[in-house]
Amino acid sequence: MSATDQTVESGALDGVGAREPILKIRDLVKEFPIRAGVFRRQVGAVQAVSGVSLDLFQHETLGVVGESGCGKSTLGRSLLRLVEPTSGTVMFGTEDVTLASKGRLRELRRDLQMVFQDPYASLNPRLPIRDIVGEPMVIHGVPKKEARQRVGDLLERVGLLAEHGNRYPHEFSGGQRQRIGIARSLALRPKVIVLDEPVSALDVSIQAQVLNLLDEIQDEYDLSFIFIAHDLSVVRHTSDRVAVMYLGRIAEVADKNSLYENPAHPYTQSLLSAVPVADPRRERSRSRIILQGDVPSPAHPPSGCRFHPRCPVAQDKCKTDTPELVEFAPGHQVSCHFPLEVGETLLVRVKELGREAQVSTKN
Amino acid sequence: MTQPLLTVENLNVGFATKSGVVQAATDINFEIFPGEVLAVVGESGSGKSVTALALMRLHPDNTIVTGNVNFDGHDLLNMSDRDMRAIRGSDVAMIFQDPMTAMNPVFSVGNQIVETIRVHDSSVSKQEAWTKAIDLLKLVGVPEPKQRASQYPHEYSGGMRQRAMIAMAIANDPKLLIADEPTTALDVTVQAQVMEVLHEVQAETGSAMMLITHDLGLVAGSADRVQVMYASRLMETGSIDQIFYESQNPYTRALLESIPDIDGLKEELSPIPGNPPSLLNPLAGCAFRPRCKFAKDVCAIEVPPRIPVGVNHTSRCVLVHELPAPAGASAGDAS
Repeated sequence: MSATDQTVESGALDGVGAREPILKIRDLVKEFPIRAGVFRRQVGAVQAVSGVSLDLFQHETLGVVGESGCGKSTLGRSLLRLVEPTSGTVMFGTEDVTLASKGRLRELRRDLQMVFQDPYASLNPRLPIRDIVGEPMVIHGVPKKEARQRVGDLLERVGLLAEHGNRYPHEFSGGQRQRIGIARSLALRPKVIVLDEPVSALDVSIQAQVLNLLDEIQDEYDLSFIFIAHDLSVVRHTSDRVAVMYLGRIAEVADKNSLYENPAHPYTQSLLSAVPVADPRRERSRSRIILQGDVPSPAHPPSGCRFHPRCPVAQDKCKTDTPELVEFAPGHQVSCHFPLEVGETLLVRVKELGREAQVSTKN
Repeated sequence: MTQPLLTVENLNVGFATKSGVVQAATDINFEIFPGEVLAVVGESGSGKSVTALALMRLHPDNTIVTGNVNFDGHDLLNMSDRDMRAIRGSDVAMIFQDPMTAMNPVFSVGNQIVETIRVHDSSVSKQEAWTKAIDLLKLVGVPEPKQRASQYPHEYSGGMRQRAMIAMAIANDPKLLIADEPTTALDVTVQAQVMEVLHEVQAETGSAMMLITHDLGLVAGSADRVQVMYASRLMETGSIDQIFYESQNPYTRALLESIPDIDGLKEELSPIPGNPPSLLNPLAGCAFRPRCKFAKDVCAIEVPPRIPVGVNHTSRCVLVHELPAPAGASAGDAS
């Protein structure tokens, strides 16, 4: 570590113990106004994130999964205030990111970085890689000579060559571009990186390369990750804890083994059962619960539990009362009035209620 | 033994570009039998969609297609455009990845199905065709099909549009359905719905299906036989169990090892090193050689031929007899 590393700390983490959360998200809300008419009056709001509370601990990977439109990307962006949250707090150490001034926010972003999904859209096509990776350092006042040296080191660290710095983004494949995006996010030695679908644009053979790279740099740079993805297999592989989102709310959050082995929320269970497994024998022995309908629009979310119109075991209470995210087991929270017990399958519950669900079996 | 419905022999598809001919599909040979599901898997640029488009003669003008394609007694590559149009959409139908671009935004969904029916059989009245369109929408699980038939594609959600496209594809009872990444644009819960519809439809009509996808999970749950493509060639062809548990091809094995497992059965991921090959400057010998952990000098000499390695199981690898026993045979017993 050189002397300059000291100057690139925001100081927000001073006095934060190792077992305390590095990031505390409380009641975070992001609404996008819907405007109509000549005067562009607001006629409604898309409730992209409605009241999300999550903790991110040091050196952990928190996976955030959900289907398109569930608000997971908006959540990630509002943590860094790339979109301005409507209300709620994001405590980074001792400091509330949502209250930081423009100048202070810039300092905080040394510690909070982001890697985007689309490696084609997130790199400036007119800049050589050297400048793309070096830009954060220039902005934050790292001397030029040292910045250049560090760009070379970073490129080598992510599996490229230092000479690649002279090339432009279009000369690289998707996987290599994602490596460049990762190198850029590492430039200021951050503490937290929000990874928004970092591998979903990549072919499977390349996907594993990038996942392994992320694993390595997490240890080396002592990073905490928020890993946003829709691929449940990838999330299980990379995360320590996993949060499942549905229509702007957290349905369930737990350490990954509890979540995947004992999902308590009916949505989590049906989501997991919908994922095809690349193993024909397991596929033949599985029965899959087919959820009816589509995810409703976040502009008009259903009343009560937002999952109730698609939930095969919903009861009257679910239509009127909004479930809170409550402790179900130690370290396992679920927002459901009638969570599934350990070992209880959704199918059993459906039968108990004397209902029917569409089930797909291969035999 | 039953006669194959579709026989493809020595199919080559190339694109004439400024920098030379890009060979997108090379030396493709395969059959599809009535009623079966053949999955074609591969990464982007491996040639799977190009192969399907060439079969349907839907490729762009700068394409050079050679070879033989026989569908149910018809020579697809050499028939007139008029005859081809009669087959396309009736005996062979296609389902595309993105229903928003595959449907006409200014006609109602019902009208588009009516058109599909009446183009191939003008004796059907508009009224009859409309009734049939409603029945088809009902069959694929579109709720309130009567009202939905007069709506436009933009009024449908992604999953519903894909169902409507399936309805259109099966309108004339095709013998072969070509589904090109039919669920890639959809969420998993909706993907499960659409795949279920496809299976039901297939069971009902008895049509064969060529399922093009990059998702090995989808393949494991749907296919009877699989062919794996890499760098424009068929690397391995076999039954679903042969490919997943007894693969005799290093690329297939590497692909299976590189995907994470939802049940957490893989501690470590083994990525395939390097980058996908450029089709503009194909490598001498085996295209997978630079990324293959088994590669030897012999791999550089010539493109490996398709070597029979089992019953209806072939692999393009000169080292097939030296490869270690496939690991998948036991790992798959996890259930």
